[in-house]
This record gives sequence, C-alpha cells and structure tokens, in this order.
Amino acid sequence: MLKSKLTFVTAALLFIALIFTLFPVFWLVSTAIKPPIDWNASPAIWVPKEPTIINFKTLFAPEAIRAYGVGGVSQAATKAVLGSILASVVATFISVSLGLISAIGLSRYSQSTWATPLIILSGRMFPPAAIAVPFVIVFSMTALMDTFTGLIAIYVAVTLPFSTWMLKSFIDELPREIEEAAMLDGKSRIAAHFTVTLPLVKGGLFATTMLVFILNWSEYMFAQVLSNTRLSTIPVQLAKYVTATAGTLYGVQAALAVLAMAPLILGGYFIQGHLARGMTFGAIKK
Amino acid sequence: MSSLAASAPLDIQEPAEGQRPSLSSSEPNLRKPPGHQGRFFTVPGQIVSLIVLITPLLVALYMSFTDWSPTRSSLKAAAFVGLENYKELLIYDNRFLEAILRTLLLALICLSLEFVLGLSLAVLFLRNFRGKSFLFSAFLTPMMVLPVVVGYTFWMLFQSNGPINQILTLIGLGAIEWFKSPALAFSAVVITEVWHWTPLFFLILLSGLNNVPENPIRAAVILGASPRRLFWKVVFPMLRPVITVAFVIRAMEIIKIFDEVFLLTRGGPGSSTESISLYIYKLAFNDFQLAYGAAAAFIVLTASLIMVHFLLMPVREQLLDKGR
Amino acid sequence: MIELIDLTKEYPGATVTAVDKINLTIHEGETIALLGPSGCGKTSTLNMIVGLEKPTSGDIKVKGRSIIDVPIEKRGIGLVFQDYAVFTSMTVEGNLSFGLEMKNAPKDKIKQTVQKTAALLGLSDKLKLKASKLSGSELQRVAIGRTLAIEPSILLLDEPLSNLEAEARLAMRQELRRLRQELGLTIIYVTHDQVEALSLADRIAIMNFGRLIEVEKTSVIVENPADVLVAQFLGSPPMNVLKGYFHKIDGVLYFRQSGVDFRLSGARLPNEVEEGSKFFYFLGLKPEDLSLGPQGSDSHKSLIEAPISGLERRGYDSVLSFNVKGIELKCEVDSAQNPKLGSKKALFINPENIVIFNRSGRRMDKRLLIS
Repeated sequence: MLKSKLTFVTAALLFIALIFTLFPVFWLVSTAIKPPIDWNASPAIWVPKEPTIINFKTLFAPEAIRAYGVGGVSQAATKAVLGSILASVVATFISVSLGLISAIGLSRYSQSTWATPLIILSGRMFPPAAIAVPFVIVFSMTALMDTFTGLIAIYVAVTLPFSTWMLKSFIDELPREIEEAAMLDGKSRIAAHFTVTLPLVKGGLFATTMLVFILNWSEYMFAQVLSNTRLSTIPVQLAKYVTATAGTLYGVQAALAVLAMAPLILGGYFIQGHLARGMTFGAIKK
Repeated sequence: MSSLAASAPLDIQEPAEGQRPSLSSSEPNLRKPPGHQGRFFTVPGQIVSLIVLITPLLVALYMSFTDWSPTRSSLKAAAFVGLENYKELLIYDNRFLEAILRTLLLALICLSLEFVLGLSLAVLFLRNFRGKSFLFSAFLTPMMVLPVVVGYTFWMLFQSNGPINQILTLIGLGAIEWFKSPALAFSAVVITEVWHWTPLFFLILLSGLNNVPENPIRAAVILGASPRRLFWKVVFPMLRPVITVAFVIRAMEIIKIFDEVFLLTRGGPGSSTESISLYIYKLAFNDFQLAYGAAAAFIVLTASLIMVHFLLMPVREQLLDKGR
Repeated sequence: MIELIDLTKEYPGATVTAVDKINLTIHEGETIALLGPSGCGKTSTLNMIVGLEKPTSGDIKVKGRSIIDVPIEKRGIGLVFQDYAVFTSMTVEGNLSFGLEMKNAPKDKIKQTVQKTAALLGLSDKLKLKASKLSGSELQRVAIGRTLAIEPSILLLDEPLSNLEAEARLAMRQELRRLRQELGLTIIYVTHDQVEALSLADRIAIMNFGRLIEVEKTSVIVENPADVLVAQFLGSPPMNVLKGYFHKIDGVLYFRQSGVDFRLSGARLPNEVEEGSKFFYFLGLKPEDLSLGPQGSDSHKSLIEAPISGLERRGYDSVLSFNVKGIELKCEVDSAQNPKLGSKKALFINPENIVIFNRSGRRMDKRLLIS
C-alpha cells in the first residue's frame, strides 16, 4: 500500500542524497590521481587535468615523487600494507575459528542466558582508548610491544565475542533435527556438527569472516599505540602522513586511503545481505 | 543402554554389538544434550579473552590506585595513592567531565540527525524504481569506509581552500575556517559522523519497513487512514523495536568515537572537540600519565557497562528470543 | 444489493486469469459464501470489491451505482482479514475507534460507538487491554468490531475462522450467525471450508480456476448440485462421479467407464438421454445412496461387485472405498455392518437417485426411469 512509483520530487531527493553520499569518496579518489601541483591548489581542483598514478607509485617507491619536485620524501607504505594484511588475515582466521567452536557450544549445548549477550556486547562497548592503556602496560612488561603477536592477540580478543555471536545466530537458524538425523546414522554428535551443520552455514561463515576482517582492517588505535619501528598497519601509516614535517602529502595519503578502502567496499558488496545482521549482532536478521 | 548413554560425558556412542540404536533408546540423548559439554566448546575462546583482556585490566586496575608514570619510575616503585586519581578526575578535572558531556551531546545530535535522514531515505526506498539495487549499494558505501579514511577525507573537504568552502563561496555564503572555531569544528565532526553512519540507520530501518506486515496497513487504508496518519499511527509503532535496536547499536558505537575526530581535529581547537576516548588517549600516550589515564579508563568502563545494561534492556528480547 | 458484472482480474505475467468474468448478484441482508480451493480467485474477488485491487475489466455496482472509481474508504465496505491484521501496538479501544477517528467523527460519537461495538462483541471489559495481549478469538472479535464500527453496508470476511482452534471456531461461528441476525448485514464470506460455508451462508457461490461454477441456495446445493465440479467438491465424502456412456447388453442398461460396466438393472433412459459411445455423460452417485450386499447376492441387480480397498470409521458410519480397475467408489454405511477390508461385496443403488450431468458437466433435469 505504501509502495508507489517515484515522483519528480522524490527522485530529486534521492539524487541529492546520492551526491552527498558519494562526493567524499569521489574527492578522495580524485585526490589520489592528482599530480602534486593540484594537491592543495586554491581554488581546489575537482578533476585533475592530467591524472597520474604517481601517488600510488610513491607509496611503494618514495623516491618517485622527486620527479615532480616534491622535496620531502616519505616512508614507504609497503610495510604498512603487508602489516595490515598479515595482522588482519591471521587475526580474522583465529577469531572466526575460535568463534565457530564457541558458537556451536552456545547454540547446541547451553541455554543462553541474559549474561551472555551482555558480556559480548560489553566487549564491543568498551572505548578502545580505555583498554589500550592496560594493554600497553602489560605488553611492555612482556615484550609484546611493537610485535604482530601482540596486535593479533588484541584483535582476536576484541573480535571473538562478535564472531561467536554472529555465528551463533546463523547456527541457531538450523534445526537441531538435522544433526540428530546424522547421529541416527551412526555419526557422533561432534562429527555431525562438522559434516552436517558446517556446510549449511557456509554463507554465514563467509559473512562473519568478512565482517571480522573489516573490523580488523579498519582498526586504528591499538595498532597506533602498540607500533613503533617494527609494526605498522595502513591506518597507522595513513595518520602518519598528516604529521609528516615535509607538509601533507595529500595525494600520496589519498592513494593509500583508496587502497585501504577498496577491499572493504568490494567485500561489503558481497555480504550486503548480511550487513544488517552483522551490524546489529543478529538482532535484525534481514 | 539408554541410561548409560545419557550419562556418558560425550555421546560418541558406539552402538553395542554393532546394533543400530533404535529411535527410542537414543531419544534422551538427542533431546537433552548434557550442558557440561558446552563448556568445552567455549573454553578456548574464554582462555583467550581471559589472558588477553582480563589480565591487562587487572594490572591497570592496580595501577589506577598509584601515581605511576613511565617517565619517572618503575611500576613497583610507584606510590600507592588510593582513590586520589579518581577523586581528581571526578571532582576537579573539568576537561574530563567536559569530554564526557561533549561525547554525550555528540551522540544526541548525531543520532537524531542520522535517524531522521536514515528514515527519510528508507521511506523513499519503499517505492519501486529502476536502479534501486544499485542505489541501495551506493547508499551503504560510507559505512564500509575505514573511520581513519573518513576522518582524513573530511579533513581535506573542510580545508579552508577545500571543496566545501568553494561551494559555500559559490552560493554566496563565503568561506569558513572550519577548524578555528569550537562550534564549527564540532559541526564538522557532526557532519562527518552523520555522513559515515546514516547508512546504518537507513539499512536497519529499511529492513524494518520491508518486514512490516501488509494486512494491518491494508486494514488501515480501508478504514480511511490518510498516508500520513497511516505512517505515524500504524507503520511507525510496528517499527519501534527496530528503531530501538538502531539507536542502541549506534549509541554504543558513538560513545567510543576516536578515529574520525583524531584525524579531523585532533580534539581542537584547544580541547573543544575532544571526545572521551581522545582525552584518555592524550592523557596516556601524549602526557604519559598512565596511572591517571587508567583511572579515567576505569571510570569510563564502569559508566559504559552501566549504560550498556540500560541501553540493552529494550532489545533484550530481540537479542535473546530471536537468536534462539 | 451488490452486483458483480463480468468482473475480471488478470495479473501481468500470469498465465491463468485470476478472476474470469464473474457475474453475481448479492441481495440486501444476505450471507453468501464464496467457496473454493485456495488459489481459485476468491480473495482477488474480495480485494476488488473492497478496493484493494483494481479489476482488469468488468464492473461492481452497489445499489445500482458503479463503485470502481470510488476511493477505497468511501465505499462503505468492511473487510476482516484472515490473520485479523489487528493493530497490536494499540489498545482494543484504539482499534475499535480507529476507523471513526480517521473519518474525524466527533468524540462522543466515537465513544458511544466503541461502547456499543464492544458490548456487541463481548469486549467491554477488555477495552483498555493492549491488543498484543489478546487470544486468537479475541483478536478476531476486535477485527470484526473494528470493521463494524464504521457501519459498513457490506461486510467481507476473508477466511475468518481458519486461524482459530477448533473450539474457538465453533463459538465464533455461532457468534457470526448471531451478528448477522442482529445487524441484518450483507455478508460476503470467503472460505475453503465447506462446513463453514454450509453452516453460515444463505447461498453458496462455488469458484474454481477463477470461474464461478455455481451459485445456489445452501439447502439445494448439496442435494442437487448443478455442476459436476461442485458434485466432486461438496459433501463429505463428496459424490462419486463416473465418466462414460450408456449402452445395453441383452436389454439391460449399463454405464461404461474405461472398459468397466456398471449395471443399472431395471432402469431405462429418459427421452433426452442418448445411448451409445458417442454420447458422453457424468453420473453422480451419493455415497449414502449406495448399499452393500454379500458377494453373489442378487447379482443381476447389483451395480458391480468389488473388494473393499479402504475403510474409514467415523463413529456410527463408516466410509468404504472400492477400487474397480482404477475407478474409485466411496460408500457410506452403518458401522454396525462391520465391514472387513478386502472382503468382496456387491454394491446396490436405486437408479432414481443417480444424478446425470451432460458432457459439459451441467446437471440434467431428467433422471433414470424405472421400468
């Protein structure tokens, strides 16, 4: 009944909303392909006349920018990119694996109580700054500062409640009877979980993995306070360009931002159908 | 056999003498999985949480009762000062209290705007038009962007010679120095945050609208409800649980806000856009007042816990019942 | 009075016509049941009458005036949904007053109507309750009350009892009957449950595949259905229908279906009914008209002999199934006869009770004659 065709006014409203939504992304991408002279021009240049990939090159070969007469040479972002990939992939794998086991336990063996979601949500609730302080103290005592082990441990601990709860919401949707049927065929209950249940939650597993990856990949503060010389991630490196003494390398920074953003927008598109559930801890299913 | 199987800790039961278990004999096993098995499943996760999360928290808790700073002495040598840090924070530290109030104000303003915008957009999406699925994906894009990238992008947009000022000049309003006045810097944070997270409200509310049952709407139309009254009297009340979820989730996220503000304003000018997370960060990692920072962290943690408890009350049913 | 004139509804992309040229006149104060299997087009018909859907062609007239272009809320037609569609976020009172509030009726009139409607439906002590706290039959009452409060000239009920428990259904059926008598409403009632239709309606309109097959007084339709489709649909169990032709062997009349001959001893054809394989007919045999005899008894008089292939006991009566080379016959007998599965029996029928339908399925006025 509410459904009707689009009128001119509503179409116009949608169009304006679309412009507002996409303009910042457009600006970022456009900056990433601007030659240094256009970076901070006044008045600002919207679309570069001579688009270039020099900013992307500079990320991995800092000398490249010299050809454009830019003096200050930045640090290469190679370490940060590799660091982000390493930390996010490993932490996501561990978090989802542990989460899957916990989710089976919670979904199939225990009557969930009010305490469980409270604890899980509280884990996401703590301001990272508040937990970062104790982390730094304990990590500096145990030589975990500036190591991937330390960062991955934090990422696993922080995202584990999330992956557990997400996977539980997917497993809960499958009736227990399917496992019981397999058990009547002589399989053990544990075997039934892995041979019957797991293949059926493939989609949910993929979505959860993607969402946890997004959380890890986007994380800034923990990486920032733990990192010194050995450890770096894209968000850490990104924030560093602002403070570079040689002035802000707008284009290079934008290029790194585009690299950081692209996989998430792409991945987000694939799990679009599960986004609402992921963002609301399963409170909304579709 | 049935009682034996039921009392076994793990029912990896080999049927005796190669007999298949009959339905009735394995019934108690199937219906009532023993609860203690479940603990084994959650043990690995709990160990990780315990070591990685709980240990630092305990150390920090102890530390918050000392006057330790890494620039002065070792933690062991630090003097025990009792509740001194807490007293200082809650009674004398105006910057801390202001950061708390500012964060709550930011939450209030942003959530209201995001709700109104998200709902409007979702209502537009009830219509059928071409390219709807493309637009849907497009409108969700901001949500997928890293907070750091959002902060950096809007920092560029709000530059004095940036595109926003360019447009403002063009329409005759004149350029604005966004980061020089507290009110404008705060507005910049609000705009950034609203851009970043309105899509979440849109997503949740649209899902809610699409799941509203059709017959009550039809019934209301037959009874003569105008579109406006239909929406406010019939559809909106049915949407209320979903709205609550959206608000709770966003409230929990926004009171943690750090990345966007850090890249956008660094809390400035002065401390006029400092969120609670940013203040704690500065205390601990710029001023090295770790003990004091830890105390602030614990106040925030406790307040968050209490707040999350009350925030979750209305959605408790949804998280529990629908999850089962 | 409401008239449906060549009413048609086609959905884009659908291969079958949902509602196919329906003509039906419903009189003032009458209760008519639209009966048919799900998907037969009865709900679409209802939706067109109330205005939720626009007909593809045809017309709907109320008191002689077309209402096709009358906006939904001005038609004065109330619809009660199968799932009640009660506004669960409101109180019972809020639901009952909703229609009048939307029409901006004066406050005291609303109050008065709500009181009256609540009393009528036994909801007076529940007015302040949240609708989400109500039971199924209470929700049903609220749904009906909400519709009655706007004083519709015609009340449409879409499968109103199908979501209720058996007991509540019985009570609600009584309730509807009482309402109809007290208010003298014109009611159009959609159902797939013939018991419901038979017990409530003055007339029954039978639909299938979007077509109106038969409209007849409830008392007549079961005894003497006008269409073979109706015959196969109504009654419990429905009439046995044989498809074939009449022919004679040694002067005795037989009816032959796919190679099986059913003996109609002592009967002859009336004038209008022809003999021979060119003339195709349907025969309707009511299960309660069939009787049993032991195998071989009066075999020259029996219809056919066959073993009992199915047995369903229903208290005093039992329904027996016979399978004769793929043709199934059902027969209702006294349980005291104690029939046994598999035992071979002779089936008898008085030829005068057999209903004859012509090749297009319409009932013929003539029956077999006894010579």
